[in-house]
Amino acid sequence: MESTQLLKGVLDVAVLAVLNRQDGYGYDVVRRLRAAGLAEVGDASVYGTLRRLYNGGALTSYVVPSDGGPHRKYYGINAQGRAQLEIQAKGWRDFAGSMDLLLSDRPLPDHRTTDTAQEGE
Amino acid sequence: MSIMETTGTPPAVSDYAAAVRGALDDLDAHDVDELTGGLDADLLEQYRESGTVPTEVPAAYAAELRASAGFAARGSVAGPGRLRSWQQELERKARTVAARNPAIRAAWDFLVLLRPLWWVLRAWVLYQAVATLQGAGVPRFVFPHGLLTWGFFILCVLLSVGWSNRHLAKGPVLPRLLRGFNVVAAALSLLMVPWAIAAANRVPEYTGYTTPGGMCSLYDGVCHNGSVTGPLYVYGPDGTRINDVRFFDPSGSAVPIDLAQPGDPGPWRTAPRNTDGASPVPDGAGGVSGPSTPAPAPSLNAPSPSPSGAATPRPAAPTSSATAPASGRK
Repeated sequence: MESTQLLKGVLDVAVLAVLNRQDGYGYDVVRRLRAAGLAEVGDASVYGTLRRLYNGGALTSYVVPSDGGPHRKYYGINAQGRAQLEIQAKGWRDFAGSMDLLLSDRPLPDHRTTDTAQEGE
Repeated sequence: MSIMETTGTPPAVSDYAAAVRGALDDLDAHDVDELTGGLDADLLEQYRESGTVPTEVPAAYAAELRASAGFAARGSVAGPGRLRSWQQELERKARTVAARNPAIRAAWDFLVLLRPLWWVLRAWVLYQAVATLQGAGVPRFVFPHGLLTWGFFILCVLLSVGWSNRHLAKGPVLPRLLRGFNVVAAALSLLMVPWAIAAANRVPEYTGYTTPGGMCSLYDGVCHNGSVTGPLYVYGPDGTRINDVRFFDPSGSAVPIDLAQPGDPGPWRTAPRNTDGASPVPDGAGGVSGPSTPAPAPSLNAPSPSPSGAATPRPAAPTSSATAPASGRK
């Protein structure tokens, strides 16, 4: 399966989760995402996501001067971002749990259709 | 303002960053700065780590950057798409401002809570539009009344709620049409609410047909042309004044009438006729014919010969012999 397509749907929550651990600048976030196993994440996608989350009010931003080059633009998560992360994390866990169940050999919960229920009566 | 600083930056990095900015030059300068803020530092760190700039061409890099940031793709901003892009940009900025302002966010949340009210208001606009076509704006249509209009109004509400259902708005064209209808309906709402209030205050509530003479149905007597009639002057088929008559309705109840007094000649002078079944004809010339003075009368089907000169009654000229109608209803 094309993992980049899956990644697009969860990039927001992934970036929020990274910044929830520690503030970071663009390439630093990319590096941490890749270290977590998302090797195919594109740096431009992460940078754009950071700008969008910032514009959406989920992140704060500040500039840190650098001695050896351009200033770095750091991002940090705020209260709104944490609330957003909590909601999206729950959604992801529910989704992942459902997919795990479907892909496992465990029996599915008993779910009788209306026709089946009527036949049993 | 860009925070780019080129000190110690390899040309490959600065050139790449400049090319990315060039691919974003269709956006506002503020947006470009916002999108590329920190880009030079990120590219430089990547360059130091991998020894190269990103492998994709700057245009593709910029396209990915703007897409993930929520901006419209370059090239889609043309013709009608320019309006759409402008709308999206306006919405994005509005959301940004709202997200950073707690008061605006709270107001927006409150407006979202009022969404059902908007559904009903939109339904009322639809109802009013149809009712205006049917009733030419009669105020009783301003609000539903009766089973039929309430039923129609409820149908309008159901349609309005259905319009807001995203499941009904699938497809690329329908959502835009619905959004356009929402804008039009909102504008009409702002116009029609004050109009409806003004119309309701301007025209009295409809209470049924009222005849020109007043509420005759409230009077226990004789009505004519919608007004209470009296005193009455009764004549027989030969034109002779009848002074003592009584009327009864089909149930046998006496109908109280305002009968003129025997000595009251009335405002008309009459001329008994010599044809059968016709009513007496007044002496329009103000002749001397009176209740007790039979005189030949013309037929109603033919012009009245002299001296009356007219086939229809008309008021007599005031004479000393004419007295005021007797008052006093019975």
